[in-house]
Amino acid sequence: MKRYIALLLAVVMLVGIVPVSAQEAPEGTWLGTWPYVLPPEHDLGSFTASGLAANLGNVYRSLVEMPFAFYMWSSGEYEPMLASEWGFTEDNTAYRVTINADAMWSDGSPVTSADVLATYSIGRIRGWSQYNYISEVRAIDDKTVEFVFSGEPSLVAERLILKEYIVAAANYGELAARADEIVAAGLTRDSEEWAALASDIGAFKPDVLLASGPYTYTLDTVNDAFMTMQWQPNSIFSGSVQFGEIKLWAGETEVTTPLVLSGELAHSTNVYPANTVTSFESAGINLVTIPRAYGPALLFQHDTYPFNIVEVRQAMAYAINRDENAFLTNGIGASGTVYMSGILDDMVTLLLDEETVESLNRYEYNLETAAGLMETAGFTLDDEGKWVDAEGNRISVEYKFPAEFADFSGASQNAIDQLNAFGFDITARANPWQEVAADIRAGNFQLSVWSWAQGSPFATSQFFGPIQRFNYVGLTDGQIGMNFQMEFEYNGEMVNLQDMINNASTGLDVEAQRERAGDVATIINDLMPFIPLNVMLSVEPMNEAAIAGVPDDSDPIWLNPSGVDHPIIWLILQGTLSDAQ
Amino acid sequence: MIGVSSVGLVIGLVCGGLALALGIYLKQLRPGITGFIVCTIAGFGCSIIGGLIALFVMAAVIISHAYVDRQDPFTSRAKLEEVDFSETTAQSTMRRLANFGNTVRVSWGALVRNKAGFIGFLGVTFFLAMSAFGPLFIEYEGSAQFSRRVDGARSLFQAPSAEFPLGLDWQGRSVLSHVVYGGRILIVTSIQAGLAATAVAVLFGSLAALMGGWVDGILSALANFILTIPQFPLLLVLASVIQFTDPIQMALLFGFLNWPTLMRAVRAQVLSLRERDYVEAAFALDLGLWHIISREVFPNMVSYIAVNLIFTVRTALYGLVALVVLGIVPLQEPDWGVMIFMGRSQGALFSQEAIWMMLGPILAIALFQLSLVLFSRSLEEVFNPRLRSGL
Amino acid sequence: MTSIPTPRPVAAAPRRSPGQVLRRLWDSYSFRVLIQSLVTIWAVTTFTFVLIRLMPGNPIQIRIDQLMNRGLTFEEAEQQAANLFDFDPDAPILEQYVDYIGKLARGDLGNSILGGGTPVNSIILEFLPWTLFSVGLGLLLSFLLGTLLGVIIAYRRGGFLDNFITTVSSILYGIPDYVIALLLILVVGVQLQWFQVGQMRGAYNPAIEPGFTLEFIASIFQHAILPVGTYILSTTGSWVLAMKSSTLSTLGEDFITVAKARGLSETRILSAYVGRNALLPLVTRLAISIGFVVSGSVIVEEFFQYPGLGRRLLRAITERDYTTMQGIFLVISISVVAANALSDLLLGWLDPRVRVGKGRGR
Repeated sequence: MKRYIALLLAVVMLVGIVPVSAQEAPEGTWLGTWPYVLPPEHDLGSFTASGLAANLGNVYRSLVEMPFAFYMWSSGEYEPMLASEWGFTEDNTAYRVTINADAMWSDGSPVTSADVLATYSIGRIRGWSQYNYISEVRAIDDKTVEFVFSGEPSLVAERLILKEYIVAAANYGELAARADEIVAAGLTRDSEEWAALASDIGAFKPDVLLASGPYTYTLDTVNDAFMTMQWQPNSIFSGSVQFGEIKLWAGETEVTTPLVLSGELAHSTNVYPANTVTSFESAGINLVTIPRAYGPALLFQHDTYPFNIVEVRQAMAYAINRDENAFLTNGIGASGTVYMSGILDDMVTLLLDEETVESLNRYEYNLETAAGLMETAGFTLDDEGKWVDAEGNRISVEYKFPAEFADFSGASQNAIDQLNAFGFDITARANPWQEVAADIRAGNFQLSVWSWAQGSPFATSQFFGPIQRFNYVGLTDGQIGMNFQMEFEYNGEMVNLQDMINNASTGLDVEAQRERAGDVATIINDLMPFIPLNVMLSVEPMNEAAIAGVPDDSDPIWLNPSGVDHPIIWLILQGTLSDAQ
Repeated sequence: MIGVSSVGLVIGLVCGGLALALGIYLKQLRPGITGFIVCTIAGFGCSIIGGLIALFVMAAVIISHAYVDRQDPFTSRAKLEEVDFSETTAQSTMRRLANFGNTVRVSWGALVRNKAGFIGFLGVTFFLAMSAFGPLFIEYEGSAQFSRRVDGARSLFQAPSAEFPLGLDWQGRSVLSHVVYGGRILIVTSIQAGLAATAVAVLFGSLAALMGGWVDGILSALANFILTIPQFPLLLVLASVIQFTDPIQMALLFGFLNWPTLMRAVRAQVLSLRERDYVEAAFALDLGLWHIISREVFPNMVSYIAVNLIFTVRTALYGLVALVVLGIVPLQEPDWGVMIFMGRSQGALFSQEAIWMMLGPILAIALFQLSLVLFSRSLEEVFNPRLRSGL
Repeated sequence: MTSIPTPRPVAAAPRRSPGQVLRRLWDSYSFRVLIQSLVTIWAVTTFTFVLIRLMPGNPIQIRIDQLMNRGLTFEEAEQQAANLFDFDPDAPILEQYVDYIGKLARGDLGNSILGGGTPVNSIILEFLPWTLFSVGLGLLLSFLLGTLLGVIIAYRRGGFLDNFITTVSSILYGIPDYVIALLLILVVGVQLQWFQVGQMRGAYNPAIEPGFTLEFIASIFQHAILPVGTYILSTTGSWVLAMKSSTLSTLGEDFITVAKARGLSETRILSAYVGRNALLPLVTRLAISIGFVVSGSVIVEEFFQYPGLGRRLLRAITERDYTTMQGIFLVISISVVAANALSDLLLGWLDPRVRVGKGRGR
């Protein structure tokens, strides 16, 4: 009986494979993982809450729905994906992109300007930040589009344009047409029609996924244990990739750990605790380390005495040994912040000029300096070695942190230990992360922790969190967050830090950008509105028994951080990686 | 509630001294000395509550040794002319105390004879003692011990060694210290939950049965409602809405969810008691609700109530740990549940040196629950003579 | 050893009020059970309705945080997170309530807040069968095993087998199910490597085509083995102990003595008299324990990554997906209430004494 069934199955599978014969699918299988949305919520929408963005993450989405280009952090150059040529127009009023002549959707139809236009019509309704820089998108010809700047041309806009995923007009044409009508009718965001369309876009689930990348999948292959993406022959990269299918296991760190150990999973982007990394190594599994481009920052609520005193904040920066803190955050998967500027340490030399970098205070761990600052601020040590102010009050505050984020809670507990040893009186309070985030936004905290910086090569974006994201300037509904005042007198002149951050990366002049970013970095470095404790690294298992061709550690591709510029995207597309079996 | 303190030691010594003095006064030296030891330990471990309870119980035991029953001339060892059939309040209190002491002694005897039950009792005592007296011997390690990092090690986990019998956890802290300290809040909260549930159940049950009418209707419907909705999902949902800031709130919540079973039993018992003449008489004499509960209902149901109390303690402990392990409620160290949660998120399951961080609390929870079960099962036998006799 | 003794209520004499149809109807046991269940279900629905409007964390904000952690800017995240609710939180509360009850009455549980408009009904339909399957199988097996062992050791009371099984049962009964689950993962998964815990996730092996084939069914059972094993380990003990004490007390009843005196064969006594009467109280407990096991399944399914309703409920709670949470909680509650009602009716049918009890002192 069983044999017949096996035979039957074999026949069914053969029948399934035969039609794909125009070009042979490569044989290997990539064994990855992503915590995709489980069925039945799982859908194939590009703009739905449980669609491609949630299901494939940044890494695997780029293999299905390609953007124009891939960014290399080591060189600052873009590599072609969907586009073949790109650049500012000569008069710098627009950005021009030419789509690769061979680019096709998985149904065999070409990728054209119409697809880009449809994408951006929907993007306008979705409130994309590209529209902060551009006013319209127009087709020059079938394969060329121009993004017309509304104001200054911008390198930030360039990145936004080149990294945006382009969707197929075949699926989204109707919605795009409605969007164009609404915009043409002069309706705005507050109109009912706009809201209705936004809601429809968010709910539209195409039946078939039209892929521009070399892989695609159907809902049938999505299971609650794993999903499988199949190779398709019509992409520009279909000839170069070495994997015939991409198998993604569902689940987060805890779930995938045994799979990595048993070799069922070859590569994973999850954050594994230090101890698990050791287990991987002893099981003979190689590791690659790439930047994660964010880390935990100690947040102050600036209405809370004494954190409104700049010397106290500086003293705290001196009093925390950040290397120790990094180790307790994520073992070797984190390193103490060096420059304390609000800019990722790797990027400091690129985004700031030499002079500024030299002038930055590195707050190297020094309890004496810290004590000196405390005394300047009017504090003295009492009999029990705790700091008290003139009225004899100790610094008795509460530190809220998200209990279930092992890395942030490790960073927090260690920061509290170190500060208490220095003479503070901090109580720890671990809450569910949703409550911590809500409390930070509401300003209902004294000390807390959240991430700083992000994986973008621009100073503006790196400065954004937490000083804008969790401050009154970035919040709605009258929430105050950290309540760090962005307009103040600095060195004898009034500055508006909010505007300074927003303008840090505008324009095309890299030198001028460095200077503007430098001004912001200097102020953050001096005032310490938050303490960037450390930067996290992504230590990712890479089982070389299953994957061949992994570049060695010195390869510049590993400078790309996890996220939209994850090295794996490029290594798979280029065919650098292949199945070792 | 549980935990040593110098005040507790003083209280314990005072209570023990009183017990000893009573023993000497009544010429019952051996029970007096036992009383001294028990009271001192209880007072030291659980402060005023433990001291007073122990003093009360031990005093009753000592009195029961010395007490000569004057009530019944036939069984009494007193001479006939000494028998006085009228009884003052003091005498009646004395008699009741002696009776109670006698019950304690008989029950203790039955408990010691019952092997499983005695093991359970020892287990429960062990965990209570560990929570109370552990801090005398083992220091709690709350903060990370970075200095224990072995050169080049990627994590601070360490396998058990002579210095750290259960190894080190992900922050380099002694697992043993967390096992010892991690039960206290759980145990205290569970006991509080059990007491709250018992109090509510006895009160509501008696009220419902004695008042009848709409009071009965409402209370019974409420009990029925709470009994029918599935507890653990309800707990999850409630925990996601309520922000718990204090363990006592958890205790009250568990108390609120666990009174109905006992309440129904109390109600049925009171209903059947009501039919009996003396209760009706007491009711007719307007002796009051409290009198009926304390004199008639409670003594009749003491075994059932005790068993139910332990059952609620177990349910509460189960739920408390489960909520923490799932990360639904705020995590506050030290706590066995937090150890399991952190062990899971730190990948302790998959490595030999780290596994003790999870095995420690897992075994502690399992053993404590098991002791409670064994203890409560034998309590039934101890209190229930029909079962004791072998059927 | 016995289970907790429930003092039996004293049945009051039926009080008939002829002419009052309602009164007669109310006196009908089945009718009362039915009404009670309906009232409980109504109370649960109202309770969840109130609950969802008391929520502390704003799901929209949580969604925005999730999106921003994914790399979106605030504006984009805010735009995408809007329209999460399918009800208007600003409408008058009574209006919302009527609307909600109306939808429920049509069997519409609304849409998942975070699931991009996926109906909660379809989510439940996806996950419920697996919980029913694993919990049902576990319950059935542990009931059969437990009652069988219980009868055997009741007959062999005091022997080695009795002591051994009673001890093991007490131990298993005492240990919480999630501790058993963790130990299972640890022992058979990580240490002995009998099972690949990672691969056994999910309800069946996705590589096997679903269908009515031996291979597929085998895969279903293979994937359920750890959760079902946990259910069996954690509940069999209590069945053994309950059945033992129930059999023992039945054996002491007069009619058994009479039957023995009449010279009926052992087998006949065992099957017709003891078994039936000893099982009676356990049947009620079986129904009630369905509720208990469904509750326990939350944490067991989470540990074994089994795609059941309990694990889905947990996810809804951690994500603050209130509509899904509400829907799943309702379904669980209703099934438990129904199981209870069923057991009450069953007991009333099996044991006439209950029927005339009128609920007094029940």
